[in-house]
Amino acid sequence: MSRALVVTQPDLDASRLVGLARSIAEEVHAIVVADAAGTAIEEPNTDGTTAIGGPALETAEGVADALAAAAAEQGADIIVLPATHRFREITALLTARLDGACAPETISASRSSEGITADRLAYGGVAIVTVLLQRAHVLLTAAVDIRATASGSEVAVKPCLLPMPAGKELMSRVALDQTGDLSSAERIVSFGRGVRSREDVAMIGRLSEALGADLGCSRPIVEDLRWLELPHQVGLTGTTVKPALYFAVGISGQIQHLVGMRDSKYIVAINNNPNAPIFEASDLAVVGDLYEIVPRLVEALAARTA
Amino acid sequence: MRILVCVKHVPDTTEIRFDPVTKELRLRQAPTKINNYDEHALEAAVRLREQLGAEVVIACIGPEEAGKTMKTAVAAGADRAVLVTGPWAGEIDPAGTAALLAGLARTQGPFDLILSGDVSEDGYHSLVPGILAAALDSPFLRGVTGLTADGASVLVDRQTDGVEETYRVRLPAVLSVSSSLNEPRTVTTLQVMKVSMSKVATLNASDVGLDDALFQPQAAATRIVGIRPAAQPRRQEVLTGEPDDVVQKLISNLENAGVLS
Ligand SMILES: Cc1cc2nc3c(=O)[nH]c(=O)nc-3n(C[C@H](O)[C@H](O)[C@H](O)COP(=O)(O)OP(=O)(O)OC[C@H]3O[C@@H](n4cnc5c(N)ncnc54)[C@H](O)[C@@H]3O)c2cc1C
Repeated sequence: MSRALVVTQPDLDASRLVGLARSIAEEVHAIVVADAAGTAIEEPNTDGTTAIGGPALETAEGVADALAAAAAEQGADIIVLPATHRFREITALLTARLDGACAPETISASRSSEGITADRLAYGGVAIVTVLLQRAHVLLTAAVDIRATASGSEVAVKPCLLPMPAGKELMSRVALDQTGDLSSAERIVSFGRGVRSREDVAMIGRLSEALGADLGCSRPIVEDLRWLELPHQVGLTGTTVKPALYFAVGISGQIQHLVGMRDSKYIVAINNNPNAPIFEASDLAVVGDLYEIVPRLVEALAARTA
Repeated sequence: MRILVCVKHVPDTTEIRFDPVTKELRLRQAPTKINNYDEHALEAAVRLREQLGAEVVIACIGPEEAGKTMKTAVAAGADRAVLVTGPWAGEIDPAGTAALLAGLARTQGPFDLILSGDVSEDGYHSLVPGILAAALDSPFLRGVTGLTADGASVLVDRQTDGVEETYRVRLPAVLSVSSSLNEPRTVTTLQVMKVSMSKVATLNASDVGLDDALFQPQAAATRIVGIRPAAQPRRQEVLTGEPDDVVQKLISNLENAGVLS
């Protein structure tokens, strides 16, 4: 019988991780890595939840040690973790501790006669590769959302008594300014190199205002031109977004951009090149000059609400 | 200070396409280059070299063709490069890569600081630096956005989910860096051409104390068994013609889609 351990933290919605674990394991337990003593909420649809907390869990090394111990104690052969920045560090260390086979950022997993396979994106998002996981311990990670509110029965946080890992000393920790975080935006107007000068960004700004949207952009706008800061960048090295409306203006639609926005509900693109790859990812392809269309669109939207 | 920079030789992912007829990934024809993210690790190492007089060694696990990436890295300011290659080079998985890098670090070292980029453009696993750190029993941080050497330790700024942290990390340590750490210098083709091949050592697994058999796909932790295109095109409507017409149709489409406020 196969047992999975789903790893999460109090502010994450782990339902996708539980679903992934259920697809390949008969039994699924959750372990909540909590900040401090107290209680945590039981993870729904699992066969049991434990919660751990303590100073050693401040570092990735400490969490990896604690999870390796938990996996051994529970006889878990499958570990499913969130694909957040914090857990990416932990996942690599845990893979080493368990000598496991790891497929990060999996879309789905299944069992075949050969063993467990996982599907994941590679080559900048062009391809889905299927990987066969050839070790006794299998580790998977998947994208998760922040949990809105948590309710359910409570479990007590067990103090983790492992020693503090040596070598790293935390000097300071400050919350980053998350305003302008596009990952939860409802509407986004995004622009790329099709916009010819910095002054023209104001025109795109007017469109985003008229649509009640946040402003996004492609990488060259941040990295080469420095017209906007990194939080506005959509794509592989920027933010992954899934708004109800994604409006791409003068963006070619290279795969590194597409992976960051292709899960948006409704995608509109304006581009003067009828063969621009962005159109393949769009619901509405507007072929034309953005300098002719955007100002008229801003006016028409204003007239509509007036 | 001795610094090892782990660099991957990758296909240019912006050039990878699926053949619309055969549905096969056109990987072989794609041009290859140094992994974008590793350039930032290299830049950080070269800056430390300029400030402190460190020795910078490049490490790469990959095909013989990666020699050109090694020369590029030396041209950017590294002292020398070590490429470990073998029959497994085209297919090696992250755990295998990390094991060979650990072997390389042990046999060519000791190193005070091991740097790499946070991810590789092709595989996008983000596993190698962490597994390497565990193998060497060194402290590890990823997402590094600031780095200052400070005697037997380094001061490291890094960003993770919504927080910025500063750590003092004891050396030897393994760090993987964010592309916002610095702006890599550009190297010209001429500078690369001028690099003598004597600065690039090409080794086998046995030279770093490991056996080729460990890295064959059948023995590896993970093995790719299938590959297919990621996204199906959306069923789209095309608007073209007079801008005023286009705008009217555009607005009614937005209304019908229910995405206007
Ligand atoms: C490792 C790696 C990571 C990357 N990460 C990201 C990422 O996170 N996000 C990202 O966006 N990119 C990323 N990229 C870069 C990506 O490959 C593309 O280079 C980039 O997305 C292109 O930006 P663009 O569409 O603005 O510019 P271009 O490709 O230059 O496209 C400009 C478009 O504007 C159109 N245009 C020009 N004039 C007009 C006009 N008057 N009216 C209408 N249309 C017009 C053109 O037809 C063209 O399609 C990454 C690349 C690599 C290698």
